[in-house]
Amino acid sequence: MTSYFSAAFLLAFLPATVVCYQLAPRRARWAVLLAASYAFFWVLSGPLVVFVIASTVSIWAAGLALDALASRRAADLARQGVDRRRARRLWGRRMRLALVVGVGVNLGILGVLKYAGFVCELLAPLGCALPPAPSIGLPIGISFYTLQAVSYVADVYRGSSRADRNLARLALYLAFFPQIMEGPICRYDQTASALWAGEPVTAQGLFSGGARMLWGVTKRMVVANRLNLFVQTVFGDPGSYDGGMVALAAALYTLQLYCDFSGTMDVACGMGRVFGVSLPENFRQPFFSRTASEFWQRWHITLGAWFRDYVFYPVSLSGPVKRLTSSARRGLGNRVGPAAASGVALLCVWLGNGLWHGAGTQYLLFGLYYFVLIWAGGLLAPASEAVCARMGVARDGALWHAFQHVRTLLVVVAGELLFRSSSAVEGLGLLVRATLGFRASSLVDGTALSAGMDAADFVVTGAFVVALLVVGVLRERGACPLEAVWRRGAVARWAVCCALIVTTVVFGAYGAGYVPVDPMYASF
Amino acid sequence: MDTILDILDELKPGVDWRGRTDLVDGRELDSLTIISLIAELEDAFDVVVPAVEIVPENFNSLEGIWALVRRLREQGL
Amino acid sequence: MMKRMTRVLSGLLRVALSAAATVAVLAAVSYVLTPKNNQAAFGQRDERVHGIAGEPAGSIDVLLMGDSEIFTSVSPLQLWDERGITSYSLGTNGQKLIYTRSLLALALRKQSPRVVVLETNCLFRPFTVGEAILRVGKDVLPAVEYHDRWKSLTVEDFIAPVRATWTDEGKGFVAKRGTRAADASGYMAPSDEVAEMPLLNRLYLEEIERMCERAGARLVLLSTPSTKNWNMARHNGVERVASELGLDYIDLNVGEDRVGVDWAKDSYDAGDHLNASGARKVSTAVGALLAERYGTPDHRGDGSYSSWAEASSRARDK
Repeated sequence: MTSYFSAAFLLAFLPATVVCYQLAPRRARWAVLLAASYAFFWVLSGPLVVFVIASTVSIWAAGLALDALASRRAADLARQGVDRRRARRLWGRRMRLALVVGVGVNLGILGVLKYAGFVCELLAPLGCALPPAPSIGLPIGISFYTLQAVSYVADVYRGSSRADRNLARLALYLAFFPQIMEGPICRYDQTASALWAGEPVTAQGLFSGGARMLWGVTKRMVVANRLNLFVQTVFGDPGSYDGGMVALAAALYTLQLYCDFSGTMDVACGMGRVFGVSLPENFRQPFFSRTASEFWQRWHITLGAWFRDYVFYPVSLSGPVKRLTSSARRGLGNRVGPAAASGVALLCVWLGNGLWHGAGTQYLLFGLYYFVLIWAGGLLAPASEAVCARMGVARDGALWHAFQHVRTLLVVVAGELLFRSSSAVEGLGLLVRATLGFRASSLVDGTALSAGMDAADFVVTGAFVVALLVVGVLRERGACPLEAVWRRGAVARWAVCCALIVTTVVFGAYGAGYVPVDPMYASF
Repeated sequence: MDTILDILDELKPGVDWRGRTDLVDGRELDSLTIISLIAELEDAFDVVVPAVEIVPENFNSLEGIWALVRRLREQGL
Repeated sequence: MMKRMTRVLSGLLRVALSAAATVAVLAAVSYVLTPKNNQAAFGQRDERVHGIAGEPAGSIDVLLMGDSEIFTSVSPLQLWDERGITSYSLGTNGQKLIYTRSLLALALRKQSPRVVVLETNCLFRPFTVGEAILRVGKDVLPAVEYHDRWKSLTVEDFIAPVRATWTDEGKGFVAKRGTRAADASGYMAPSDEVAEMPLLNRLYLEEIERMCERAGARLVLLSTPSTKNWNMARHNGVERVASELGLDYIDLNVGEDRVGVDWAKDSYDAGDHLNASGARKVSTAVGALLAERYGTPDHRGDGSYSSWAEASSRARDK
């Protein structure tokens, strides 16, 4: 059992958990979920489970401390004849301390486990002799549950969530097994009470959840694992491929990453649905975006939202940045001014986003790439509007929209090319080769078929992309395919599930000749 | 309320601010515009908008923004 | 209460029906994807061991099972030449007990061997619950194992019956040519350690034993000579399991059954596997054990086994 896609998980662990959950009395169902979650964690990470326990206890304590401070502040402020300003400042300082400790413990664990080696590596050439990084390994999903932990403490601090006295509920909120590996990154308000409620498994939940999971499994087994053959071959030895092949590999990698990650999210949300928990959606047809910043509102949504709520807004509304915004507005005007000043907050967001994905220069470059694009996009918006107006291009027209779609797709593929590289230097080199050195010849003369995928593999991939497009368009129009199938009755439900199972069994890239692929986001 | 309308029109002309209840969800107000809007609101009404108040409910409609400003003013007094 | 029970029951019934219908569809798909003959040219995987399906029913007296240790150490044709024993080797590279079980089931469909010899190296090769589930899936629904054949399907795959007309010339044995001397300095050094086999392996061994018993075959555990794979701790571990399960255990590395392997000349890869010369010695010893201890009959001169004499002479001519 190494992932949600292993036979042991899908055919043994998950069904057993669902049965135990349903048979348990409602008030004890949380215990089934918690036990299953910790068992899952243990199987994947063994004794490293202590780190998730440490995080749980730390946010539980921080929440209680913040709660106690807040009620004492309220009591203080309610007293007659109190210097309210001084009291506010005093209690504010204490609460900030609790916040900093609570957040610091969690980010500290993440920092030491994930980034210590990277920092040492970066500092080594400067002659800094640091103690060697501890090689403990990474607990599964630490990047995901740490963000959840931080968001809980921040929410309690701001007063948008109440502090939870129940340690077990917090433990479940952090470690719920469908979400622990690759997210989605949930907020306490979104899942905690549903996790605790022990809603019974219903027929509709079982169908919608199960079919959603099957769809995710199909996406990953048929497309992502198959594309791995090509992507692995080219990126494993990029020096021996020309620009056309590198560009194709980058495009296929983008598709692979999407099918892998969104497929895993389908499985996670499907599992949540079975247990009556609606996990937040992480994808909304990202490739239909028209700008880079819209892409990030549709791709890995919960990560983007986390950085927006806990980095972008707080940084933007902090004193110094606010003053910067005001003066920029006076100096540069109402549109360009704030856009320019937002650079500070955006830089924080994108450095964080890049590094969150991993300790490596390529991730740093990936973050900076999107920082530049999105910041420049904001700065240049008025100029671009002016140019369009002068050239008579209708910004609401289909032509302009099509241009935006294509542009964004290219931007995203280029970004993923940097992301997949083994270092920033290699990434830049490959980007240059895939653009300036692009030759279409290798795509048509048979070279493309020599890198691990044969013509039949490309045909299957192409057919599945068409299916993805159809589903994507339906969803864009607000349809809910699974809902529609449910209403059609038992035969339709069975037909859909059966079709997905047969497709996965026959066209899945597994077994002899295929290398099993680790879930891609689990290592970030 | 008219002050808010003026601010919005200045930030992003050509939107029917009065009739809308999906300003955030419909992506009329992106995060950048919200930051500028907050700066203007803070100047105009002498309030401080904390980050916690930036939720869609507060910015989805003109009424929502107005309610937020009124609430913050009462708290500030 | 009653109402709720009926609702739950009807729900379960529906789920069971849907599952059955899905399995039926997969079974139909499996038929199409199954290789239409037991040869690699038809898409058969592990062709060499699947040759067993092409042997006449009831003609094989001894099955030789295990990983590469068994198919490089014991030659069925030599057993025939020296003792008139009919046997077939079902060893594959890195075989795990889950696959051993499947191959045994395949062989027992047409054969009723007297003795099933299981080489002990694979007893220690661990596997996971997931692999076991997947193996069962492949046995029940060949579509799981042969799914990639969709790329090479022909009209015949849809209409032709599934046959098994082919068998391996060497009856599953692979002679390794070449010599790399082994370092036998620490070979079978005395030790009180007892190597533990994983729990799942133990369960599968018990299942294999039950299958042999039902088929009327005697299960014999055999350790072939190897300096790399065998040691006293493993010997002790197998000895203990054998006595617990009441199985015969023969170790050719040590004690009275020891085979005089010359480690300077008889290994193919420095003590991991035997070469042809080592296999000759081991086959002679195994033939003697089978004939003398287990009374496997001598079919030489029996007209219905003429194909064995022919295969043997073809091998000699090569």
